[in-house]
Amino acid sequence: MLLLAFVLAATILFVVLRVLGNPVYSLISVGATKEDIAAAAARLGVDRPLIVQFGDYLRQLVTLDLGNSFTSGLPVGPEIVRRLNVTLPLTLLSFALSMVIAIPVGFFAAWKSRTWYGTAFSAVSQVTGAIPVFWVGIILVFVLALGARIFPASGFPRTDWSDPGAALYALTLPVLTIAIVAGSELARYVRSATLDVLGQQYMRAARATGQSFGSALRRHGVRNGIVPVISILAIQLSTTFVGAVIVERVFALPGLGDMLLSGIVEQDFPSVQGVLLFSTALVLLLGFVADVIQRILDPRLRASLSGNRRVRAAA
Amino acid sequence: MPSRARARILTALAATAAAAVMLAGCAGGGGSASGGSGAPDPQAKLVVGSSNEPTTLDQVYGGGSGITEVFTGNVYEGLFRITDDATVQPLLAKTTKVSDDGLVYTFTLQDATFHSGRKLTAADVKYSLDRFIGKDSVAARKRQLSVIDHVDVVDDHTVAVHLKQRSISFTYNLGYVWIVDSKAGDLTAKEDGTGPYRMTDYRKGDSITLAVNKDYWGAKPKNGGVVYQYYADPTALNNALLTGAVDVVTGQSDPDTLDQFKAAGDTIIEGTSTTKDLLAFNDRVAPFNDVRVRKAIYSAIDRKKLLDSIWDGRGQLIGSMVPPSEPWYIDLANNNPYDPALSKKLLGEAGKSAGFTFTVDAPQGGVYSTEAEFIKSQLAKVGVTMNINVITNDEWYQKIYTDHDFQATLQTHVNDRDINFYGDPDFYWGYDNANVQKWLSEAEAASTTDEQTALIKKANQQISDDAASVWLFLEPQLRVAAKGVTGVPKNGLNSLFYVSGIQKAAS
Amino acid sequence: MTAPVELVTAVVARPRRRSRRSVNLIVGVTLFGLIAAIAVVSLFWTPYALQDTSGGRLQPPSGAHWAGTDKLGRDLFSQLMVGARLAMAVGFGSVAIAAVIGILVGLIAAVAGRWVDDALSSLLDIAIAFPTLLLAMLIVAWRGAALDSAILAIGLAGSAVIARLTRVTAARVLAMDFVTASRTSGTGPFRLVLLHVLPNIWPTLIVPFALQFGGAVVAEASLSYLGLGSPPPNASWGRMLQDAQSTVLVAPTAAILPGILLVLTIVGTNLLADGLRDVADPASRSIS
Repeated sequence: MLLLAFVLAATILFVVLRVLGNPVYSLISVGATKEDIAAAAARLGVDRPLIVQFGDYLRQLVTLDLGNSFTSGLPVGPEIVRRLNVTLPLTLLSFALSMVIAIPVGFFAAWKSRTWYGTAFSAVSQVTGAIPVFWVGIILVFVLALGARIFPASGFPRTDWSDPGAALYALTLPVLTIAIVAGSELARYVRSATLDVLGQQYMRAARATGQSFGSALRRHGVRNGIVPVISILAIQLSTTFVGAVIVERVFALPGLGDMLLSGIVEQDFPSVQGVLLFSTALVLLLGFVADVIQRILDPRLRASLSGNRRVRAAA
Repeated sequence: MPSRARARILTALAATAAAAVMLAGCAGGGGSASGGSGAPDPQAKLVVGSSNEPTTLDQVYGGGSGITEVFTGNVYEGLFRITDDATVQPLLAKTTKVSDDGLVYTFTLQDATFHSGRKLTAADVKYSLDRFIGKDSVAARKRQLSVIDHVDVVDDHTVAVHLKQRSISFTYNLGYVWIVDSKAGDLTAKEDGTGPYRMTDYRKGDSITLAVNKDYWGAKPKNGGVVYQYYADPTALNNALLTGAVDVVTGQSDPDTLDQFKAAGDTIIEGTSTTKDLLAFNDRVAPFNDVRVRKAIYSAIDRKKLLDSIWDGRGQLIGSMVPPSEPWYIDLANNNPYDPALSKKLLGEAGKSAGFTFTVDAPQGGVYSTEAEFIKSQLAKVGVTMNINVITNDEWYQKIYTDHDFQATLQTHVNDRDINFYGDPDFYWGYDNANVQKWLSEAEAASTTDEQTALIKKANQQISDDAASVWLFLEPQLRVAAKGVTGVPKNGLNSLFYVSGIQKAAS
Repeated sequence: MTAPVELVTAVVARPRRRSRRSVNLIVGVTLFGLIAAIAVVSLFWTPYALQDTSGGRLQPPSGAHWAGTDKLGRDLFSQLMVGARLAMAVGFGSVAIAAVIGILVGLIAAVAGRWVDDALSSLLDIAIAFPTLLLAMLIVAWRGAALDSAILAIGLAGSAVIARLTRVTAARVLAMDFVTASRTSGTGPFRLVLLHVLPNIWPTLIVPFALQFGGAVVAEASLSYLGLGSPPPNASWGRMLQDAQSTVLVAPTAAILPGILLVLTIVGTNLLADGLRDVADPASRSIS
């Protein structure tokens, strides 16, 4: 099923790219003759009939060969792996940090929702979640990098992860940027989920049987409340990845997002295909894993769905 | 309820706090930290900041200018070298002999070694030239070098190039052709040149690192190595200079940022470029096949005002396709002066006193829309209506460059010595003047540079008199260097950027 | 341990019924209304014409130019007003597209047979898995950076979520008794949908629409930041923010105001969404 979804995605991507783009003109410059343009098209293989190109594309995918970049001639697969060095830690750290921020904040905002400081937390997360991620980055750079020279304004060390201290230092502001925005959104979800849980029957029932609030929450509340939150975690990861694309531009980080943007600007089909297929595969996989976890945690879903995993809580 | 009201106040406070924090940052902004005031340090490592990242490492594989900025003259060398003042000097061609009919150039080669250790031989020169003009090459100056008929290896150190016709610009054009190692194979992932630097690290999307070539045949570089660091976001590039992450910026396109660099103690270097902004007509179609209409449009536009608004008083006005750095430059900036009355008169003579409407195809991008809006409002004052059609760069190559399906377009031409495009009636603007074609081809076939200059000057004057296009202005070449960094090339000829002369003072 | 007791008594004594008078709604409507009002006014009047470059470069706010000027001498206040119009256009346009496509696809999936439903559901899963902003970037970059490309791209990207929600909600409605009754009395599928399904799914959809509005404004701002948005003089707040960054020390207002307006608009639509959920669909305890 997953495989089918992936193949479908790959096909749609192929079609969309070829309908919309024309990579030849990114290679040539003013002064090129008609023969030059034709030669460039031949070299890229884009002058062949679409079916032939599609056949090649599928054949390469099967062997996990993502082809060579149209503009640089370098193989796409190894390039993606190299760039993951930057984007994977960036995404994971941001994701982790956003959860570390969001879960306590969301919970607190729900628990104290009747008080002014609870509403304050809620209000602040509304505002921070509304700031476009690139502006958060710009502000952080302005204050912490240009103003108080605590962090670098941009760049990722050429020593890569052989000097983890330097790498983390360079990633601090970018991670913070994404975490603030993604965390605010997550905090609102957590708050909503917690409010739901706090008002639910099983909480009252647990309290009525004499359990302490804390234990009732731990035993029933968290387990039930976490189910809808997990369902959006996969989407959160996707959001974090998109955030990474923009943040990599702000902080000049040589990651997958930068590769995608350059590929789009240069009409480099293999690079764009490679990054998008990779990220789609990743999110599909994570969605699948999230489904499994959900089903394990929530017996209601297990019983009523029996194989049809589609009818979930609207998310 | 009080708590809700407080929530609203808090939301407002949060927004204000954000603004306050930002303004507080103002106090600490600026101040570049690299470079000191001591004597130049010959071992200093430089970081060059640029937004022009190469798309590929091989100039034959793709036509972008980014790779010229990094490699030409630094990692790879040509038979000749074009200096910062646009003169030609021999480089790998130790001596040059030209046959009387101008069709055979015999070069003897320098005693140079490639970075891989192989010695430079004539076979490498033949290989390099052949692949530059080969069928699969999309090199940026292929057209100019197509005058080569074939290349002969005379002996290990001598090569003879046979041309199809005389070409006085031949040695100039050779300045852009890299001599590569014929045994190096695929050059998209590595390099093998003879230059003063070798590439030790290539991170696409990030940087290219050049280390000094200890076995270089020529003068030692004045620094200890260079890293080209790339930034897609202009603010990130500026911040890099302000925080000392880079020592020099190769091209600054926002003149309003210069004050903050000056305040931080950086040096602003303003040279000339060969980047010309044009409003190009399709000279084949009405109404632009009428020279009076073209001249009328030319005189309706206050180009000085446009230049000032985009470049804040920098750059300069030009009256034709030739910038001041070229030998056949004539100051024609006022040949078609800004004169709305003249414009209306010319329109009347052309039978268009009631005005007319046309469409300009503007590629997407900030500067083109600014130019388009400005020109539109200027033309409205003389009764001409201009419609703006925004297209992608792709569409430009298809619709305008290939299909010639347009009335007018905006474009930026970065090549040097490209007046020759006006000698090709099939070029996208379709300017077809037999005299100009004659003069330009005779100029190329001239036997002395004086003859060449005199002939091209005639062509230069003619295209200006004919208002073949509207040359809006010549962009400045703005570079910014941190305190203590000297020797930065001043002019920008097609993105050439020689780094071996750049020095950084010891802090 | 007063807090938990307080909470339990709160839960028991004062059942958490959402009040009809939702503060979220009030604040949301105010903010959103303010921006919409600016947008409407900009259609008829702005202090200066957008293309008027007479102001002098990067002037600070003054009596003549309330927010100062940009680097080409254009009045910033006028651009900010037109930016509101653009934000409204992007928001309404993309939500409309997402709604039309999403509801259509969702209804088809809900009404049609198992086969079609399964196929469409897979497609929707993929569409939601696809990083939507990236798809938008692709469309805009290659179709040309014009406003309608951006709206189309963002709308398409958002339609998958709407489709999925429509499918689930419509399926729920179709399973209800009164619908079965109507069907057995002979009502055709078309009228079923029109008369019964649409009016009942509407309240549930309003909230995601409002949320997508805010999302669309952010998406357009991000596209503009990346240089893929509508070019000047189309005043996009995102583009204005990006343009002003390199001269933030020289002209701070130009670098802050567009951002503040963006935040206000998005907070407004999000609060509006929350408020609508409080009022229109209190039965839905769903996270979105």
